[in-house]
Amino acid sequence: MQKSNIYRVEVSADTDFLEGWKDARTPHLDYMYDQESLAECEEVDGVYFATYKTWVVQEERTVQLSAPSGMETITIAIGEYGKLE
Amino acid sequence: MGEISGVPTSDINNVDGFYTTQGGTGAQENPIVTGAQLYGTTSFWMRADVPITFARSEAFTTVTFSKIECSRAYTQVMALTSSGQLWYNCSANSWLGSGFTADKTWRRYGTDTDWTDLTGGYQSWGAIKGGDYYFMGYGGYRQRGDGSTNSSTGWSMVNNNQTWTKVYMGVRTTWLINSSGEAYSTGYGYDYQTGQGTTSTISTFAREKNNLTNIVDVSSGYQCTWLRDSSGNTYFTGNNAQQLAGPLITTGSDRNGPMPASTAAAHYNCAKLGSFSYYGGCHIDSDGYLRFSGEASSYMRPDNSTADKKGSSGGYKLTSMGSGWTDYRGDDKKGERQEHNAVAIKSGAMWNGGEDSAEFKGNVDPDGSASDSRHWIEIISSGTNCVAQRAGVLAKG
Repeated sequence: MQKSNIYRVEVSADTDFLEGWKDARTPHLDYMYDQESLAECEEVDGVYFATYKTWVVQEERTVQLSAPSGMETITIAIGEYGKLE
Repeated sequence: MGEISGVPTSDINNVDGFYTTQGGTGAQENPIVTGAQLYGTTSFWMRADVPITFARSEAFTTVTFSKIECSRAYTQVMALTSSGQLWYNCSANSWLGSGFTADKTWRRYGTDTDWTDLTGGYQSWGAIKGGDYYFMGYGGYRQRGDGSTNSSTGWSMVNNNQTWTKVYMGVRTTWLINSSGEAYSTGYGYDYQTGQGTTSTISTFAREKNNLTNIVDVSSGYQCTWLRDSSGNTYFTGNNAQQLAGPLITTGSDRNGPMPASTAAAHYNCAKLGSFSYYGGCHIDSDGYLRFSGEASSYMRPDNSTADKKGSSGGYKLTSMGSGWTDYRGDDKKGERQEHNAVAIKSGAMWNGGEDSAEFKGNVDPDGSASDSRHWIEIISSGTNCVAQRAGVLAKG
């Protein structure tokens, strides 16, 4: 069962590999590059490429969050999450 | 089966949120009866190996601890007493802040008496105080669980919306168990180790995806996690390349759990989870026997056998090692595959073994050779009571 897709994107020396990014539909997740530094990235003619995985939800899910603001229950619909535009 | 406060004694870790010393051969959580001493080298007494100058260090206290934990990155040790006090001993104050004195002596932290659990992570600490989750350290690994990556110097209360009873930090993960026996996780999702159905990174505590109940214990290995319920059943999620999950899981691929790994009815009644290295490790059954799973050629089996116990053979009872085991902690300080040694406690005596680099406990190996020193042996003789986070750090009554 497929749970993620892998994408390849250009990165640079300014990229913060530990910061990650959000998808508002999955607020409890941070999506991150598979690499943690530029040195781990593929280099092609001086251009660096990192990979990342999205989350592919194949059945609707309910997730219970224990956030600082209190308990939350979110429903995650079928779809792909975390893809960079 | 006896009970304390309505909790079976096999689940002694969960009684009123306190760790309780008990007699008999059942598994216990780091009992010390008469004070504690730290042992190790003077320069680096928190290594995963046993140093050549293994002797009492300058760190000594007569305080009786109920649990001791050490940082996976720094020379920092913290401990709890059964009366809810927090103590520490450190020579490095990274992330600790002004409330700590880094002079390698045991000191009490503050005056509060509601500290009930403690865990040492890699560049981070977690604690339960008054039912709330406190965090301290580097925040980039998402072990705060409040959606932020902020680091915290000194304790910071980051989650008080449930009554938490237990906290455990693996490599880039934090797990919390609440008073209803529900498990929540945050952190990096390597190989599904957070039990959230995704390998993405969790930054806000979320309940594991299978909504397990009556969870009382949690431990980890290389990019994987075990949970235990109050009936002695175990559950697994994450990397299972060494097929160490437990007898119910026979594939070596990553497990998108938590899913049943062993049951009390069909396999053994797990009374305490051990933490594993990449190659394997042991849990402890309700009779106090070690239950080994994984690759044995790296000498993770305390009986020194090199016979693997993988897949359906996992949870193998090490009968020849006898009962009385109360703790087994494999080295997985920062998630590297070459970390494969462990410490264990039997009837108060400390044992150590496994395979490591050339300096690994050459002094205490029976054949005295540092190059092949892999054998499990008793380090500190019985008749005393030891607790340990990793070899090289222990407290002895």
